Amino acid sequence: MTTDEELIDRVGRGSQEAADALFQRYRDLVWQFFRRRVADAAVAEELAQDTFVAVIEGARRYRRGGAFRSYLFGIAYNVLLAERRKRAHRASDSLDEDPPSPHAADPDEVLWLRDALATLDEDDREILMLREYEQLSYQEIADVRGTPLNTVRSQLFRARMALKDALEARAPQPARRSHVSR
Amino acid sequence: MSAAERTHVPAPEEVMAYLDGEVTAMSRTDMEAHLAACETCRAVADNLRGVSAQAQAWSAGAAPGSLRAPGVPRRPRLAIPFVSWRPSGAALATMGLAAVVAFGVFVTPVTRNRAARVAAEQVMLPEASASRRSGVVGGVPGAIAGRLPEAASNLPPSAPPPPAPTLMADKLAQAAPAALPRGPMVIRTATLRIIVKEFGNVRPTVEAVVSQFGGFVDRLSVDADSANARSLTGSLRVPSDRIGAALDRLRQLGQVVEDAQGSEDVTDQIVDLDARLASARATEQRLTDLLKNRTGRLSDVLSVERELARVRLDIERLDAEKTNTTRRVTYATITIQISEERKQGLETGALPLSTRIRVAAADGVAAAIESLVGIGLFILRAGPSLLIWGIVAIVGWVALRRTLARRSGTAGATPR
Repeated sequence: MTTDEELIDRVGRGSQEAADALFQRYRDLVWQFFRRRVADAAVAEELAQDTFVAVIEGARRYRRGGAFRSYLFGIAYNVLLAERRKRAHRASDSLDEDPPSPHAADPDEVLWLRDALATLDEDDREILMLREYEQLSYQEIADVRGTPLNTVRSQLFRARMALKDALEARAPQPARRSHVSR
Repeated sequence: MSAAERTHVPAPEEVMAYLDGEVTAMSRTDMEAHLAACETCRAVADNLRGVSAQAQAWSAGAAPGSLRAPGVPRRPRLAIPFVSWRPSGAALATMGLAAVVAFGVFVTPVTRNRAARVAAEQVMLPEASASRRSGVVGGVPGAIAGRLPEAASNLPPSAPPPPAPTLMADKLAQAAPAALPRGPMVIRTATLRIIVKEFGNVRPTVEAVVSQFGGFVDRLSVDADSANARSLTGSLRVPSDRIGAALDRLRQLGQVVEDAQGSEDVTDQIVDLDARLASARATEQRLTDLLKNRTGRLSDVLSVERELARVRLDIERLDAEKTNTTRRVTYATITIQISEERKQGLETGALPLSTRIRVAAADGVAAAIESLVGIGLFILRAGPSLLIWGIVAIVGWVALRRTLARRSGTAGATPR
C-alpha cells in the first residue's frame, strides 16, 4: 500500500489521483477532528475543507522526514486556532460554546463524557483529544502543539486522571458499573 | 495520585506510555512482568484503559458527502531561459511595426466606440431627451407605471401583469418533494441570447410561453435606454421536464446568438441531506425519551434540553436546505436576454460625414478646455515656488546692480 508520504509527494508533483487517495484516507478523521471541537456542523465542514485545500496547495512545501499525520493535524489545528481567534473578536459568536451533537448509539453516555471533557483545562483537553481521537503519538502531539515531549506526557496523564474523576462524579450508576466491569 | 504512587518505580506516566505503545525507560517485557506482580500499577493501568474506552464512545460520525477533495493546483509553467541578444536594425524595425499595429488595433476602436456613442445619441435625439430611462418589470409592478411611460407604451396594454411574489411562492410550494422525478436529481439551467426585429411583442410572448409550460417569471427587466436600443433580460422558471420544449419555443422569437445549457447532479447531496435529517431526528427522539424517562440533577436536565433545542434547530436548517434544493430540481432556470436588432446596426455601421465633423469639433473643444485647465493647475502647483524664487532673483539683481554702480563710481573718482 502506498504510504501517506509517497502520496503527498506525488500531490506535490501535480497528481490529482494521489490527492483523491489522500482525501479518501483522511476525510473522516479530519471531519471528526473539527466536529468534536466545533458546535456548528456547517462550520466544521468548512474548516475541514479549508484544511484539505491548505494541505493540497502546500504539498510542494511538504518536507520529507516528518510523519504526514502530524503535518495534516498540525494544519488542522492551526486552522482551528485561526478560526477561534477570528471568532474571539466577535463577542457573541463563540466557536465551541455550544458543543456538537452526539452521534453515538448511546447519547446520554456521550453527554456525560462531553460534559466531563468540558471541565478539563483547555490545554489538557486538547492533548487528550489529540491522543484519544486523532491517535497521535506523544512526539506528534508535541510537534503539533510545539511543546516539549515530557510536558505532553505529564499533561496527558493529568488529563486522563481528571477525566476519570469527572466521569465518576457525573455518570449515572449504570455507566459506572459498566466501566468497572471492563 | 498518592505519595506512594509518586515515588513508585515505574512512575504512573511510564505505565501510561507503555499502554500507549510509547518508548519507556523500562523494556516492554520488564513492564509486563511488573504489571503482573504490582497491584498499584495494575490499578493505574486499569484506570487508564477505562478512561480511554469511555472516551471512544463519542463518535462524530462519517464526513458528509458534500465534503469534496480539492483540485490540485496546476504547476507553474517552466521559466523560459534567459537569452541575450543584441538589438539589430531589423529587430527594432519589427518592434516599431508591432507597436504601430498594436496602436491601430487597441487605440482606434476606443476612439471609434466613443464616436459611435456620441453619434447614437445624436441619431436617437428626438426621443432621447424624453425617453432615456429604464425600469424593472416584475417584482414591483407599480414601479413601472410612473417611471417608464414610453417603454410601457411600446408594450401592449393588455399584457398581463407579472405574477405577484405570493403567487410565485404558491407555485414553489406546489413543487413539493413528492413531485421530484425518480432517478438522478439534476438541477438544469439554460441561457438564451436572442436578437429580434420586432421588440413590441417580446414581453407578452415570453410570458405566454412561460405560462403555457406551467412555469413562472422569476425576474424580468426591460431596459429602454435609447442609446443602446431596447432589451429584455430575465430569469424564467419552467418545470425541468419541459425545459426543452420551452427553449424551442423561445428560440423562435428571433436570431439566437447564444444558446447554452448546463446541469448539476445533486443526487448525492440530497441523499446526504436525507441521511443527516434521519440521524438528527433519531437523536431528537432519543433526547426526548431521555427527558421523559430520566430524573437526574437539574443541571443534567438543562443540558439535555439545551441539546434538544440545538438538534431541532439543525433539523429545521437541514429541512429548509433540502426543500430549497428539491425546488431547484423541479423547476429549471432559463436566463434570457433579448435585444433589438437596431443596436447591432448602430455599433457596426459607418458614420455620416456631418456626424464625424461634430464629433471632431466636440473633441477639439474638450481638448482646448483640458489644456486650459492644465495650465491653471500648473500655475497653482508651481506659483508659490516661482514667487519665492522671483523675489530672490530680484533682490539679487538689485544687489548686483548696486555693487556694480558703486565700483564704477569708485573707479571714476580715482585720479589717472
